[in-house]
Amino acid sequence: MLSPETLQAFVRGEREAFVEVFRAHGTIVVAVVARFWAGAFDREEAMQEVWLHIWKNRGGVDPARCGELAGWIATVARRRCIDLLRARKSERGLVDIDETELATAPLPDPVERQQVAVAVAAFTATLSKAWRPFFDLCFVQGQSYEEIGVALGIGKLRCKYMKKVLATQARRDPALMAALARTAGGRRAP
Amino acid sequence: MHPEREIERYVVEGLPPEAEEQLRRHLRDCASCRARYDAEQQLAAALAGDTDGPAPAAARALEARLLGAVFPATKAARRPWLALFEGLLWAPRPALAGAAAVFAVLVLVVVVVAAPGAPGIAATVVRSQGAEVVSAGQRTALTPGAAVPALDVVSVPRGGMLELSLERGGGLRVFSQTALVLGRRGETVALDHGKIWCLPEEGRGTFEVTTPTATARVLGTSFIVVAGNDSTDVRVVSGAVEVKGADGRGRVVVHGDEGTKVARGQSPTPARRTSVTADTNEWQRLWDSIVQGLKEGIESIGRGLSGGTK
Repeated sequence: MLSPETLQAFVRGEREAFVEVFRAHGTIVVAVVARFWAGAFDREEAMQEVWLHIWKNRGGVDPARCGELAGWIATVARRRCIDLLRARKSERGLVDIDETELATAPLPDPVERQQVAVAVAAFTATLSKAWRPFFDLCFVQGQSYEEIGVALGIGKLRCKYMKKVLATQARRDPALMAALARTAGGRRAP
Repeated sequence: MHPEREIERYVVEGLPPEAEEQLRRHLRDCASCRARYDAEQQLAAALAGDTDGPAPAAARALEARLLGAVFPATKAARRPWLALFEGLLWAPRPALAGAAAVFAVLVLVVVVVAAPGAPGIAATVVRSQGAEVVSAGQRTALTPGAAVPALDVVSVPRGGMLELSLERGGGLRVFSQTALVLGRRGETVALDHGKIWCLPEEGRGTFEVTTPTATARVLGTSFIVVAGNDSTDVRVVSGAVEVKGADGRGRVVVHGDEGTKVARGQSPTPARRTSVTADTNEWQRLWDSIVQGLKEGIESIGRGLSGGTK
């Protein structure tokens, strides 16, 4: 839980406090947005809108009630998602829509998720020992090239090359691509 | 054209900020490329072991974009005078707007005087009724032939009007109850609220109108911008205008007899057929009523004089 001092700094508009709140409660917004949009791009755009909205309305945060921040963020995020969807639908000339009908993104299917996890494990099993640590740092942990460079003692350019090679290999893995294509997100892909 | 390679590169390696912004603009408008991007991100998220949330790299990129939007230090450096107005003139709503405007002007005057290559004259008044310019806290009535300095707040009260000849070439018609600031040589207009009719001369380079919720960039044309508290309407009389939301969100090209609306924090709506006759007639009525008022004034003076001689 974030400290009252952090929340006070957040309400005052301090950058570092905003980053702390974003990192601490990012998953809440991810989860809320995922109920309304299925595509990664739409979700990213919505998340940006939601966080901007949270920032603009940070005056509504009570620093003395740290425990309520997560709930407040979830409520604000949900309201903002509904507003965004309503705005989009009204642009297309549609009349107002019931809130319950707006959350249309499919829930993740545990079976599909398991199939993807198995396919990814099979893919990583094909990687040589030299490439596995890089895969883990880069794709799983999401470290920057600088951090990976320090950890593995390789240059930034080498990191870039390795990431590109692994991404191409993954795209060419038929079992992995088939598992992804069976998911709700994959069925929408071209 | 669908930039598939660019999308792959963006997801795997990332792109420089300008290229990223350009690609994201394209993704907003192109469903096919958006689906390609979604598939790439889905693969990246799966490799990270989480198919539900964004991949770590995408989450980091989102954080960077968000910080850029919330704390736009680089944008301010690009157009400092406009950023200053965005912060000082637009942020506080009506109650504080006057005080903020005066403060902004004071700050800007310092900037203008101190900065090398100060912006100078932005426009010359062609005709005016009740319009004023606020410079260093001093209100000066704008009369025909008067120079309008860049970065000073120009305001037109209820029942007034103002027509300007821009230094860059072309004209600007300012309707009543409007406040704006002109940039260097009248190449940019920061419209705080109200309505303007833009008639920039073609082939003279850039001309851009920024409101609290949108930016309209001329592509050779005549167009009307109405800025309210929470939205901006752009209606094109002739030619074409590129309209974006604040922060460069979305991109819509609006042609003659079409319009778009930009709500706060949103992308512009798709261009729709609209009539500009009401706007052009309003301008004509405004001008006719002022001419009529002048005529009646002159006639009454004439009657007074002839009565006096009798």
